[in-house]
Amino acid sequence: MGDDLSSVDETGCLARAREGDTSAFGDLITLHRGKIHMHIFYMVRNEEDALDLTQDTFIRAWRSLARFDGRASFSSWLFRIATNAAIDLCRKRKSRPQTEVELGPMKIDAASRTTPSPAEVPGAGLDRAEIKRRIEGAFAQLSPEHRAVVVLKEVEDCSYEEIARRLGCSPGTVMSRLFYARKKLQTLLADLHEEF
Amino acid sequence: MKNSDPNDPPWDKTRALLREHLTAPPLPHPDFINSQVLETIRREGNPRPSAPLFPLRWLAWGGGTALGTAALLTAFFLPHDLSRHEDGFISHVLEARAESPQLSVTSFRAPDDRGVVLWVEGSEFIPANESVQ
Amino acid sequence: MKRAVLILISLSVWATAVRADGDRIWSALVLATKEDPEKPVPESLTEMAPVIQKVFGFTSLYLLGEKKRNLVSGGEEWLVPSREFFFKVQCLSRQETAYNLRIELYRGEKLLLTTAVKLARGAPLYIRGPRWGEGQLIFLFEVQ
Repeated sequence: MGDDLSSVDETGCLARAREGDTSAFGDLITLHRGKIHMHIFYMVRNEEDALDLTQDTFIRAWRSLARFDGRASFSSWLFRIATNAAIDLCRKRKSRPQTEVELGPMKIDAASRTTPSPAEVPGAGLDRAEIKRRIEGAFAQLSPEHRAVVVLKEVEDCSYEEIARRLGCSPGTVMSRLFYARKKLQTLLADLHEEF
Repeated sequence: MKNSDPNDPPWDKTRALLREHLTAPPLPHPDFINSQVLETIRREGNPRPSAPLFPLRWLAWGGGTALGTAALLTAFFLPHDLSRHEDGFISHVLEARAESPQLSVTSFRAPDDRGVVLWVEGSEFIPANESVQ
Repeated sequence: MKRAVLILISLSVWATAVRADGDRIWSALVLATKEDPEKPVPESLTEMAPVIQKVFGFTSLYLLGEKKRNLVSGGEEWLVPSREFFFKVQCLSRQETAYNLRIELYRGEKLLLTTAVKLARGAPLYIRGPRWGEGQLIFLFEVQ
């Protein structure tokens, strides 16, 4: 079973899967597993959890296949299941203390005996690894719902309507969440803009 | 609905950073996902996903009972007297704070307790040719 | 038979929802002027128009934007009745007929005002905003 998706007829597979054909459902998994995994990973930011939730998404989808009414696309429906699973996990995680990521420019102690490295001094040029760390840290400070809209809009370039379908909310909610998320990210990453 | 982003240079930079650095690892061992999911389905007995959970007459009795119970609860517990002058129907401002030294805020009840007003003084005048929408 | 069952279930869900957390918070941005007293009032402002006239002294109302959101105790929502002015609303708690809300009013990126208010159903919050041209901006909040 590889990733040769060219011959998979999604509508036909879906119809057969609804009749109980697990092999057809396997083809649907093959068709969608990559994107679902990526979407979940962006939200939960942990590989192991993303794998578990990807499996969980398809298991939930199988159990709910009778309730899929075809109004949205199968892909949008899957994304909605995946998003809810990721949000549930992130909420459970909230009750466990997480290490806060210290953001913003590093303060230079005037009495420090060591010379700060270029990566630590704002304006001196951050290396790629440090920039990535900063961006991931800022992104992690968003709620899962806000992460989802940022990724779908800014990274995957989805329309507001498609994001609304995938997340099961209104386009207005998408816009509000996106606005808040952008504001927060811009604040957290303000000093990085000075590097560019 | 427009899909284009606001013309905002700082956000363009942030978006560029996100696209460059926010990455997801490829799905490791993709076929493992398939085998695990299908194994779980088989272990659960591979129920036909289209099989109804309850017979139709169960649903009919369940629905009728729920409707009757809801009607009884509504009749007995929904308040009938929705007098505006009960305290539960009056709004109050508990606290109000202007975030700028130019602004001042006071609050008072609207006439006939039909709401509550925050009176803000010192707001910057907006010329008519500036958009607020 | 199937249709009858579906109707029964829908009615029972609706009946129980009468007492459920089905409230919504509605916000609007209104331009109030003294131009034309005969101008018809926008439908969603019918009940508020007399209060606006008494309190603010304006007779003509233009609805520039409105937004409605579900209210969930403990939840937070952004209401964006216009691109320029918008609100962050936190629902702190819920009582029988009122909600304790924390509302922040923003213009662009600037926070203008923070307020904690007990907002009862049918008793809106009116916020006097800045003058715009010949008129006055008024922000409205209501639990519906």
